[in-house]
Amino acid sequence: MLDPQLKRGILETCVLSAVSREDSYGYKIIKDLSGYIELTESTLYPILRRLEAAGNLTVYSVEHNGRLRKFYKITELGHAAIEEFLKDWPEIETMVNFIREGV
Amino acid sequence: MVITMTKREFLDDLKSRLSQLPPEELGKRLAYYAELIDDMTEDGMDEHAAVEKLGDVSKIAEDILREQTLPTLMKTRMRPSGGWTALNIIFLVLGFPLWFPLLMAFIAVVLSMYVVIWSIVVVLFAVVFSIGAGGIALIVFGIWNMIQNPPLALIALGSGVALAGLAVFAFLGAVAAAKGLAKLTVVIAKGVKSLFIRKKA
Repeated sequence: MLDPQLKRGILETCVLSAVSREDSYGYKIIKDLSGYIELTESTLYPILRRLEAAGNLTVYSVEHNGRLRKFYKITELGHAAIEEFLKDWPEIETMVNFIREGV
Repeated sequence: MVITMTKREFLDDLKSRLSQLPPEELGKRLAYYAELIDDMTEDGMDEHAAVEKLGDVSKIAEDILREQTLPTLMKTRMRPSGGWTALNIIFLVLGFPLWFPLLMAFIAVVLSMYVVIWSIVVVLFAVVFSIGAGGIALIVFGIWNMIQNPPLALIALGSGVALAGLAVFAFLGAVAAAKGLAKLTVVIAKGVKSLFIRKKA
């Protein structure tokens, strides 16, 4: 069974990656990721909040059709976090392949 | 027939379920869902369908409350439902000799549960350590006396090695027990938190 902490970490990095391509907002992030991962509206909120608390994202508001839309923007720290994730990943891939070969 | 909600109904329902939240946090959550519903309907989705996509309101509220820290929950749970009127403040002050000791007792009970659990862990490892130390002492004694008194030295060496081996097994057992106890503290923490989550009728 995939460790929930591991899955959560990967999910957070996916969200961060979505924002790294262009500043984005909640609904758009969910739509862009919907083909790749199961991300619900309610699970996204704590992820965005954690990323913001860690300094990987900043928030700003833009007026849209008479209401305020919250945009998320990636920071330098955020870029570094993505790079670190990609650096650590090959090790995990090796382990997964090992497990696969044993089946 | 499935009962569906409008955006207003969803937000009002969520707001009432999250009355325990600090006002700033509550505002952020409501704004988040309001924005999502607006975006979905703007994208062509029917309002009722958008609300339904968000999921069950009671589950959303419960998950949000569980995310809060225990002190936050305790603070708002204890807040009187009418707010801090003059009368409520008078009751609070007059009742101090009653609720304060009860609160202290509650905190003491929770803390002592943690202390008991971790004392067990400490004791287990202390036992492992003494078995191991005894084993090492006997081994040293055996080696030291190998020339003067070979039979005694051999006995000491043998029992020393046996004890050392026992210590290794005991260590593995202690680690397993510690892990189990750590899980128990998590269960207790969750249980204590649920005590403070106001269940809506």
